[in-house]
Amino acid sequence: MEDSGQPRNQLSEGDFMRLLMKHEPALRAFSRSLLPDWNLVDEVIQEASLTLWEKFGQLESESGFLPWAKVVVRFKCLSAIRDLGRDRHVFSEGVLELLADEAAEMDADDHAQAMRALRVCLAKFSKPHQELLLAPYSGEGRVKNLAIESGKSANALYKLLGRLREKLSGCVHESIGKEGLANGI
Amino acid sequence: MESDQLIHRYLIGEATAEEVATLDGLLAKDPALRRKLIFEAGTDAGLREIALERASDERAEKAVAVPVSFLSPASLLAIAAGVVAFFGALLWTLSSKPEVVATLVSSEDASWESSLPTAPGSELTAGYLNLTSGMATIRFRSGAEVVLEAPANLVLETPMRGKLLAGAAVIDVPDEAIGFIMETPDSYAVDHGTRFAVSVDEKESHSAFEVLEGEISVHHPVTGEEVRLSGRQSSTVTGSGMVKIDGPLPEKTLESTKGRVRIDALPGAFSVVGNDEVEYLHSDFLMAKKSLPNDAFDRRSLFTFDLTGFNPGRYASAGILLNLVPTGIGYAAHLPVVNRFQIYGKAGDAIPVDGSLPQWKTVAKPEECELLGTFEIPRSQKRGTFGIETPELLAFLKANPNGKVSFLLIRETLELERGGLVHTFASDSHPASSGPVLEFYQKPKPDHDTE
Repeated sequence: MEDSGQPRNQLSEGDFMRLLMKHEPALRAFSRSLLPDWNLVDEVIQEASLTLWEKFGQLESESGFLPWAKVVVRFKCLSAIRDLGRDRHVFSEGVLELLADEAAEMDADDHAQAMRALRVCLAKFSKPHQELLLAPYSGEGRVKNLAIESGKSANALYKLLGRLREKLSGCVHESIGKEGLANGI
Repeated sequence: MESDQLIHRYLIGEATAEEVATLDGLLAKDPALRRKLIFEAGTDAGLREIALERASDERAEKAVAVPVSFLSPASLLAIAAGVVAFFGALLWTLSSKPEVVATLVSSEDASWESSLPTAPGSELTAGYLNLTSGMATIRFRSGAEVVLEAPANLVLETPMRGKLLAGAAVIDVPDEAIGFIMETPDSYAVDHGTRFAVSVDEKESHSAFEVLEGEISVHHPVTGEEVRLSGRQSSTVTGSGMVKIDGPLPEKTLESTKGRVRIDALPGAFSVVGNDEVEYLHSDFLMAKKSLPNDAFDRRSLFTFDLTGFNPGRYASAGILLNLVPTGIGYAAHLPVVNRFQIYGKAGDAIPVDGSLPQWKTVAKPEECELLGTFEIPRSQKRGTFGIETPELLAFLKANPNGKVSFLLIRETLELERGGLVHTFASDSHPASSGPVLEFYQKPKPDHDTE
């Protein structure tokens, strides 16, 4: 499976699966900080996982998996953005490089900690507010449908969604502590 | 607009070109704002993960096919079966067509509630299988073979991934399916070439894995824990974490009866029918029906418990349990999907002392009694234990200690067409099932349905 010479590690195919499963959420979060939408994130992760598989023999140890995978994903993200051209709402190359450098510093524990906090914090919101917070990922037009159902304008609901997200993020911050924020979680 | 709100608008895809340009300018000079964006991207990823989990759970509950819309970890794990298999799974995932995920190899006395075909030999697409009785063997297209034991709910996701929502299964994974994943509500096991058993106790929110041969790894996505099990090792999983056991799982024990007192209904529990024609009744059954076009075929039942010398005041909770048994009288299709029943209480003995059969008009009416609780039975369900455990029941029993108390059972929901099913519960004379039971608990029973 390695593209050149002997593999540097003694890791098995099963180990690759396990490591990829374990770190996939962190890799998705990393990609999201660079890419403008989720479709592109999914495409990049698919492509990157194939590359990671092909190059798995180059990985020296299990502990190096996430930083190594982030290098591959970063390259795929920046390449995908270049392919998009100028007509999409994306950040400038300089900003993307800075974001990539800074997001690469997050480790697997940071991500797992933030995810735990997020689940706890989300559960504190009322059912309708939870539904609104999850609406952007629940299919095209879900927020607009909620607006129709609730008799509010889509604009008003997007404003509410913004405030709820800020509140949620405040709760997650508080849960994981200032130390985590300083580390860029 | 505040920079925080600009970030949210950007992440939910609502930012205009001007807003993205403004944000870009701010990000270029503000490291704290870049950290904020990275943090919010992580939150965005987490929210999406949760939204997809909930959507998947909802689809499973609605028993419809579960197509995978983006590359799932399962497809990635298919790499373990070789690059060819990986591309196969990738194509399967991307196509979102109802491809065959598994084959139902055999079934032993199996009965199903499922949107999928359930005849042996059927090819199964992604979807939900509810095995209500018996056993069934399902072979995933990857080669992994799952022997399912009823009652069990299994979601077929991809050729390399299934999710057991309830019940027990033994899974045999040949070399070509290494990397097969079996999920449970709180965890997932990745197979490394083995035979293993998994069980999910839905009510206790608890699952367990036991390796019979070979090796698996069990992962807890919420806590990030991961354990490797080999030989006869096992682990138990709850929402808050995992415990590894260096050996097989201890044999299950039945729920302790400590702290629980059970009182059987007095002999002679009976039903009445609106037209008082006794051929519509049977001493083995307590019947309940609300019929069209009038109450001529309505059935109600009464049963009595003797609490002489018993003090309900010492208990924290009480329940009435009834065993639904099928008789095949009437069509379930003529009933609403869910049927509601009421249990009323009245002090004293409802059973005539002379052994005569009471008449419809002479038995207690609901308006003369106290409503103590309701329960529901889906029309599709013909067996099971149902009843109430309410504060009203306990209060009623405490108010009527040291004597006889009687209960009136009524079906509240009306049939939709004439000839609807008569619900029949075992009376004390039923040859196979026990009659009504009154239970007292020292602690209230945990309620798993509340949020």
